[in-house]
Amino acid sequence: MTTSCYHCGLDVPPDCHFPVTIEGIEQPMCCPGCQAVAIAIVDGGLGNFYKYRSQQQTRPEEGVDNRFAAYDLPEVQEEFVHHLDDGQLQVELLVEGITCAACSWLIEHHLQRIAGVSAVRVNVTTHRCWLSWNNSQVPLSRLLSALQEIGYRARPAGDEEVRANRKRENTRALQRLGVAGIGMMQAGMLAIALYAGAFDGIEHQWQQLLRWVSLVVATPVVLFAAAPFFRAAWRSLKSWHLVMDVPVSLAIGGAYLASVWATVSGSGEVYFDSVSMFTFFLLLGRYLEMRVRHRNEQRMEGLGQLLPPVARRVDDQGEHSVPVKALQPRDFVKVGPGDIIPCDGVVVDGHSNVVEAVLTGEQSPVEKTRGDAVSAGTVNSENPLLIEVQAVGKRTRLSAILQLVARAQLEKPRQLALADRLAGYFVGFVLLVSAAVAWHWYQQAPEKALWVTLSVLVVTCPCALSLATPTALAVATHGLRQRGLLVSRGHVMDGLLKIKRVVFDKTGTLTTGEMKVAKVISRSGAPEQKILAIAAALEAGSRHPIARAFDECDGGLMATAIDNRIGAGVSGIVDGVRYAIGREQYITELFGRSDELPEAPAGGEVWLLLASESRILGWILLRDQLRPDAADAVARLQTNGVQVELLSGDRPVAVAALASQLGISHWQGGISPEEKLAHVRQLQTQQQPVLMVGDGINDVPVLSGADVSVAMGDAADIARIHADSILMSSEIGVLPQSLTFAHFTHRIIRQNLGWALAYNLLALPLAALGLVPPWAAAIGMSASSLVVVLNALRLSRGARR
Amino acid sequence: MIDTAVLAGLVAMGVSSGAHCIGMCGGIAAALGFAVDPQRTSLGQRLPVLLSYNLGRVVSYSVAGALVGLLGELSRQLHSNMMVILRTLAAVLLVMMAFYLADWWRGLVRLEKLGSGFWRLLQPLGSKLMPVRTPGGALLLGMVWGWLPCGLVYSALALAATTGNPAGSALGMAIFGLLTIPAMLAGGIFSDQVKRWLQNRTLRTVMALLLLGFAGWVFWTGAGHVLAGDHSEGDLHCLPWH
Repeated sequence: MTTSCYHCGLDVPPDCHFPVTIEGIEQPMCCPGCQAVAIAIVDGGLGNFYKYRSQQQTRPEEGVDNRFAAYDLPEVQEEFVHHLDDGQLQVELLVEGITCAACSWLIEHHLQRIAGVSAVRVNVTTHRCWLSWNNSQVPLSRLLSALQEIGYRARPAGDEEVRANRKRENTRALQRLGVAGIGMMQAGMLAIALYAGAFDGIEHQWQQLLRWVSLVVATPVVLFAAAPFFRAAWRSLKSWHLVMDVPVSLAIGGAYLASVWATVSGSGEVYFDSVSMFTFFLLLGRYLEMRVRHRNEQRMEGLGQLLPPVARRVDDQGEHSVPVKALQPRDFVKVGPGDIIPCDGVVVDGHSNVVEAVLTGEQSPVEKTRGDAVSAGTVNSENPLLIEVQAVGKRTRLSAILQLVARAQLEKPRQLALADRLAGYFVGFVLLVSAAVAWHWYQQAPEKALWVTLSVLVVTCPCALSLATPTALAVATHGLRQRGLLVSRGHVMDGLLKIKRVVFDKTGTLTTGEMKVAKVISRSGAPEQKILAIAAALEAGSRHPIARAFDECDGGLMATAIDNRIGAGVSGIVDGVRYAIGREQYITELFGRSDELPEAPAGGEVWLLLASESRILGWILLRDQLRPDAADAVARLQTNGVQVELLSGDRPVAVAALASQLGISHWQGGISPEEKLAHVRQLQTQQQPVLMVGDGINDVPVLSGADVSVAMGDAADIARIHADSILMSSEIGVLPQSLTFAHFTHRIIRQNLGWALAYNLLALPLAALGLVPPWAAAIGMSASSLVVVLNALRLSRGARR
Repeated sequence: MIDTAVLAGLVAMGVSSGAHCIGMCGGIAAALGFAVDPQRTSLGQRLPVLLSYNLGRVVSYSVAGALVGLLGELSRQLHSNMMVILRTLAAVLLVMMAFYLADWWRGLVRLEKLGSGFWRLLQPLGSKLMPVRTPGGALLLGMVWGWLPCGLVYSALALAATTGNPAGSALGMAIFGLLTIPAMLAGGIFSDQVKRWLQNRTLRTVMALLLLGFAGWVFWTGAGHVLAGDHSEGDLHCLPWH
């Protein structure tokens, strides 16, 4: 095997020696040029370039065996290895880097030489390799690293296939784009020479030379880069459908053939530059669209790709790598800084910041310490964490989210279907018009007929029309997710537009569920501070929401002999005195003493009584906190012309208090789920489409009656939530933002459609009159598609703001 | 100012440059694109830098062209047969380039080694300009890196020198340089994917054959006539717009 040049990747001939030391390692170069470039790059401080090249030269790496070691574990193999009758194992591998039949020959021969391998078969087109081997003679990791040694990266085939396909699609598209781009620039420069020559009265011989070079340059553009258009056009014609590839193919093929004829016969006009430019811009539009699509797919990718395959399990014997699939609830795993957390669980040791963007869309890290829950797929950013496993694989919150997103993707929004149909009719119309134009010009001025028809075909290509809606929708769905609204149904984007009312179901959607001390009433002259300090000491050991309300009141006192009665109260000894805090009834039972409740608690409020054996010290009022942005969000919804309502099963007094704090004028308390549903139905009959906000667990029937439902659930409950969309960030402010964003999206789609239609309606007559030369038509068409795509991308910028 | 065969040869070299440069110089373009800001590598941010870099390179090529053109002019004044020798030399270099491209024989490496001696003097200048963040800096860097040891550029220079006048040589090198830009840009933007495709052996062989054809043409129109006993200056067609 020859070594390849570290810089350019070509083979280094045996007699050459042009080494460069990069990062302390002497690397081979093939020629003085590469040597000079590499030295210049390294000296210029760009040495990192070699580290981050997207596809490094595949070469044997140290520790390869280690990297594949996880694939030897039986638990991991279970997924993709078949046991044959004769005790052999068989695996289907997906091999990267196969380009031709020679690769398959190389792989087969290389692997067959290894003892223990009984059969190797490689399929070049699918990049698959079937391998049977005897596990007692050679482990799978050895075979994988053997493949790596000869430059092929192999993975067990499974759901990886999708990703591999995507990568292949991307590479292919880039190749086509590259060929078309280079061809366009070369043909363009040659065309400039031709045009310039035409003005000066170019010599025929010279003109012919330039034409022939253009022909050579444009041929790969048409035969290779534009191939997908021809293929799609042929497919669509066979099934009696009209897609825009039909006029595109006619234009590219027609212009190319006519130019070839002009070159060969030495007469007429050549359009090689227009053909290349047209192909390039069309491919560029397609490529951008494909990138958006791929990025969306990647986000909803199966679990396997988001999570590491191996975790560090900690037990009595120490720390070792195990496959994530082998983890059980109650196991302990260690997650290093920078690692992806492999499971749902609770932090038992360590303190770190965790980025939960995959769940909430929020990029800033969340502090995690002992007792906090962490989710699979989130990234530990600072210190090592020891985590007790609660759920792995399909039971994780991440898995639930991915399933929801997948469902949304399956439902094709109405707008899309409409745009598809519209484009189909338009293509038919264009073909008819082109035929009429061709016939007309052939009668009037046969020498112009060809290019006028070409211009009509090119200029009216409805790519802008068919890109207008899907690009915008794809970008918008992602935009909502970045804001923290996870869309799990296809109709949400459309539905958000019509919303006239936002109904909050339950008071809990507007409060944080976190209790805070709101008021202290002293009964025996004891200072407020002392009351709170004693209460804090008694509650110090508990993590109950009520106990946590006292976290801020720590007065340095310690309680002993704490006795916690769930749902009643706590007693304990502070400074030698026995105190108790809790519900009035609990105190009465414990100390035989009572006191009259100062005032009735409203919704989300609790009165606690603190007493010692000898006397009543006082009352403490705890109140559930409003979500910090709730009032602001309600106000913003109302200023946007959306009515806000609060429907709750809580007592009307409590609901009224909450509603008045938030400035909600329509509210009802103490009503049943059936009544809520009836109310929503009634609003809908009054042409008031409803967006309903609930927890998505206890109120599913009500939510499903609304036009769009949003669950405000805790991310912890995600698997149980049923709603059209889920507010992952628990910021209500996202609601008005999302409504505005939906309108923004709608505006963009309308602009796109309007632009595409206006452009086509304007360009068609101009081209039919012979006023648009083919190169201008190519620019016009491409520009119109680019306008549409770029306009849609404004949405992603809007989303980040 | 330039005859057809020479210009066609330069055009062909420019067009085929992709197969030669993309691995070597495409790396520079990719590294430059990388240097703009590793986090934000959108096309819009990289394009001005890449374009300026390439223009700087073309400027250097043109300057080099003017220099060899001057040499050509001097030698022509020295002796009229010098042009025939220069053309023969250019044709030989074209053949060597073709062999280099197809990886049949790498004799041109020796010439590159000579060039790298000169390059070592210039290289520190380039390091001072890095990392490049602005188009202006990229232009300067391109002007320095235009002098990288490169067999293709040397062959082009040899061909350009045969015009025997500085302006014609500079123009020829400018055209050659401009035609290398598409491949270099592609190298900076798509880097590895395009690289793999252009380094394809078949493609390189085709390009090499193309260059061989042009070498024959250059030789025949310049020196062949002399050998055939025709002492007119060959069919020196001038560019129609000059």
